[in-house]
Amino acid sequence: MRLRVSIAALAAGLAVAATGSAQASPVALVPDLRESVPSLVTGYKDTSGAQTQFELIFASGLENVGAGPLDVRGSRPDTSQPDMSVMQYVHNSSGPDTPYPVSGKMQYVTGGGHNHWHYLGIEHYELRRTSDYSLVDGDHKTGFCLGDSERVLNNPDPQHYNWLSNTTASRTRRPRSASRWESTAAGATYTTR
Amino acid sequence: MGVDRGWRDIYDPLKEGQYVYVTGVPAGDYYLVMGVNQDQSLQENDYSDNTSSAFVRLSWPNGTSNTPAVSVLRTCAGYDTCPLPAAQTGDATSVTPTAATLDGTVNPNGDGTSYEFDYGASALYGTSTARQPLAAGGSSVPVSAAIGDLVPNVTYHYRVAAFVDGGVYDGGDRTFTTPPLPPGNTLPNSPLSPPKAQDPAFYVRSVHSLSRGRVALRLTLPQAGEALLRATWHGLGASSTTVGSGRRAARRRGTVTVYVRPTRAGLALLRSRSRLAASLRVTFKPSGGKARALSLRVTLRR
Repeated sequence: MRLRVSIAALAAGLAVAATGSAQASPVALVPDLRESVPSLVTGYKDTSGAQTQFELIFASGLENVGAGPLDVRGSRPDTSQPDMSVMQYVHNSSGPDTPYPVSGKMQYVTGGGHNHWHYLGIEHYELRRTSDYSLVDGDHKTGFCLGDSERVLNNPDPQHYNWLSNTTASRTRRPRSASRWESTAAGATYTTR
Repeated sequence: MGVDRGWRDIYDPLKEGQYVYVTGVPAGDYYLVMGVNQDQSLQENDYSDNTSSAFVRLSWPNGTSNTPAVSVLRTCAGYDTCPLPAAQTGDATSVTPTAATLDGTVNPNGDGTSYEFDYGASALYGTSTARQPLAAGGSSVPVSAAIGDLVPNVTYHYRVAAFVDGGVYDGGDRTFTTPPLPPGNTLPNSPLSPPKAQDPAFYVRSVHSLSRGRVALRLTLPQAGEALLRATWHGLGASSTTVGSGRRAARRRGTVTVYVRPTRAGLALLRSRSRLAASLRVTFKPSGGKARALSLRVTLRR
């Protein structure tokens, strides 16, 4: 009798396992990027250069309201190359991440409060006339260091990667690849690939 | 590097590159437009929300060699243009001695907005319809509101007004005149004198409804004399009730403040309701001259 129960339990377990594997076909967790509305728009007199410039300064925000993280990773053949080519990795509900080539590049930026790798051109700013939509001025941004500044949804990913670009490790020029910064209780760790 | 699901990457105004140049740019209206992944090189499940914008008004209050001033009149999430809402006051229809329907159009020009109609016996209005929401869109939408409790034979000013981000965009002032009551009608104390808005020497500068049933009027008077006020509430019965009154003597021409104080009947009515709309007749009797009068609507608050 006990043997018969064990066999039945084993059969049930196999059935559950088979059902589980059928349900585990991976789902692509694609991000959805959303541009925040401009904020803190202020007139500014910039006397730092040789010629005084008047500017509109502002805050901007890049939001991810999709199903998965935005994960971009840079690499270069050797450290003599100044820039890195970029791949986007779309996470899946199970299994390995799916890589997609991206036309952008990463560049090491110094000055202006920066001393780390930037992903170029992910955001753009423009000032246009309301009368004919003609361009007055474009952006002067050298790149974006990408990180998690604040929550925008009430239910962020429970496995929060906590991307932080302004870490001590990010300030090195030397790596052959720039990946994600996984923040731990002990601090940031840099993952080379 | 990246941005996790449910998080935002913020770049504050003092970070590198968070600016556009406006040196030599004339004062005026501009769109500040921002976009992410506009070349769609990154994989996403929705590219329609990648652009946002703001309507900004640039000015040089201290000359073009000093810091410009900028005000943001509207922000538009998901749009690369951010026009202001447009309102147009239309006709007043179905006008009776005590009621009318006010028409107009409102174009939200983007995100949803709200609107109301303002009306009163002068271009200061003083009474507004309940504010109504209007869904997002890019074309003019007909709007209307039925108003009542009007005074017969009075010229009313009215307008439609749209609201966005704290700004008011009105559709322009128009007027209509309620007809007199037909003979035999029992509504008392009518017609009241029409407002003398065209009289530059005698008019109401402002109306403030205070607590405990008081109303403060700023009146401009052409010469020495006495201003008399009487607020009347037209109830459902055949007779009217004086709910407030006041008077003020002026020794010379100029602006005076006159208070309407509630009568015992007014206080009794206010006990049963938080506010009371009443007709106010303002009579100015100059020293040794002929009295002139105008009328308007006021609200007494508990």
